Amino acid sequence: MGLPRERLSSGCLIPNGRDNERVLEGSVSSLTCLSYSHRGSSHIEQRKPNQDHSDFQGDGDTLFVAVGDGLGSCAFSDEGSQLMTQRITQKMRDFVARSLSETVELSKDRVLFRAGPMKLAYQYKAKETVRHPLVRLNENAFRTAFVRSVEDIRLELDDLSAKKQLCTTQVNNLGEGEAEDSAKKHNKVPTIKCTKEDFATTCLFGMTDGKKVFCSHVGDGGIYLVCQTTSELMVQPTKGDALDETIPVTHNEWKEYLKVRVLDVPPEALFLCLMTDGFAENISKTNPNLFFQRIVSEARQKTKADFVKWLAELNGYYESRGFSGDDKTACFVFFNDLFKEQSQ
Amino acid sequence: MPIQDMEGLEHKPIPVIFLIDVSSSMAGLGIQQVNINLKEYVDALKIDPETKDAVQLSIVTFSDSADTVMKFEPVTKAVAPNLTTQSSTNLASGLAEVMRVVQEKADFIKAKCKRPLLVFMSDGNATCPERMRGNEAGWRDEIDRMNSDFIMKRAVRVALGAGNGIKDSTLEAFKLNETDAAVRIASMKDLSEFFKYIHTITKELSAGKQPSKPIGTATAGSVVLIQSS
Repeated sequence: MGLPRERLSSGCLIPNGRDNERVLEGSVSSLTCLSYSHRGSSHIEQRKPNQDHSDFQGDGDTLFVAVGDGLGSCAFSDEGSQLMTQRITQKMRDFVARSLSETVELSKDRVLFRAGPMKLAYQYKAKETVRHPLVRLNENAFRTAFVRSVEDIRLELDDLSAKKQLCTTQVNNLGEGEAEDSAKKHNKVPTIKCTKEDFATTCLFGMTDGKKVFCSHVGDGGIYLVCQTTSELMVQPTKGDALDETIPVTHNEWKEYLKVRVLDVPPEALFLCLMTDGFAENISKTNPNLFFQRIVSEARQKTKADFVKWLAELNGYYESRGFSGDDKTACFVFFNDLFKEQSQ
Repeated sequence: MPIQDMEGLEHKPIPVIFLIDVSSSMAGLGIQQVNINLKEYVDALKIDPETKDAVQLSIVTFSDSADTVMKFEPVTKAVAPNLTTQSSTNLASGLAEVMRVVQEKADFIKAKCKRPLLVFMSDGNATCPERMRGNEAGWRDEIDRMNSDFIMKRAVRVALGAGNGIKDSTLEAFKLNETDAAVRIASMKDLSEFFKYIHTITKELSAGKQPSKPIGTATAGSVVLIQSS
């Protein structure tokens, strides 16, 4: 079940010394996932970690991807986005495996003896697991499973915050010097009260087998479907009602803000792109296609490794032109290989 | 090779609102320095790739009454005004006018903009009452209104006192969030240092970063004294 972590290589795509970048890649069937994340300059200056995370799982011919953007103002939002992306991909993979797998009883022949055209055989019943395609799943079942999964993860975040609280209490009970050392070691200021809100993160999720796409989105950022000549924002991000604010999955009313979209993958589709707000907020709302066709063109002209380098340059472009100093993550699911082949 | 151009990206607007005292005490060198530095600030934003497509400038002045000189003007089109002085320091009317200008564009700001930057500049204490007296509005009441406003309570605010004619408590009254600052310059000759600071934080806010703290000498309370280097 799932892709072995070893296949999620990063060393080959990021040269040494580029500690502020994270790359994940892997594939199932004809689908390739490539996720690029760069710690924003504002977080580098403030010595904050990259609060974006992405993760993916594969099962059969289906890929499950998630991207989370930890809210900058929350103490452990980097851990929140990591847990959310890891667990939601696992949970949705398990849900699909359960829902679309069916055990059927088949009649089979077992030959006991064969001589020329003659054979002696008997029939027996065998049980086999059949995996139905993603198209069998409907939007309501998807939505229900997603909501249940997020609710489970929110409980996990409650547990995690209780553990942090306990840890804090223990740190606070240490002698003065020891508490300071422990706080320094964990690079966190001991907090008096810790709740799941301290792990606040957005959640962008997508699953596809190349024929059908299921997306769900809580918070800001954007999920785009990019085709040969068009690009579409699949669901409108939630900006909350406020400036520079959004609704994370840790918000008590997160379900009110959940957006779901299901569609058939058009034949001309090239990739699905899940982006945190660092990249997405400055993409033209009226014509995102201009931006994404440039991405298509760069991917076609480059090997995968060079494309990753170009994404690093894109991060630099955002930073130098004052678009965003936030962490930036783009997770691509390519329906077919777009990249130039690596020359031998 | 760095990317030279990237189509399909748009800067998220950042509203920058100046609230400037044009009372009689600002006459002469004071208003002259304000006009010069305001022009340099606008010109610098116009050519800076980080700000030229992002900043939307508003300028509200106050004296006997308030006047909106510029309202959400994209900085590329903005022409720095030549401000002139009047008489009294009716701070309450200035604050009320800022609120009116912001409310007019509230939907746009909420939906499309980054947190606004409010820059208050004055060299003297308000001549209007602190709290409402009869029919006369109090400036602290107006600040309270600002503090409970959905947009303005999220704004980054910088209050400047020029010289010693304005109390620290007036400048500190503008501070609500950690990102806000109250600063003082000894005289109008140091105004360019203040504008350098405003330029820096305009760029930072435009890029979605936390605004820097002003660099200077801490005075009593939380007011920072900025001096020419």
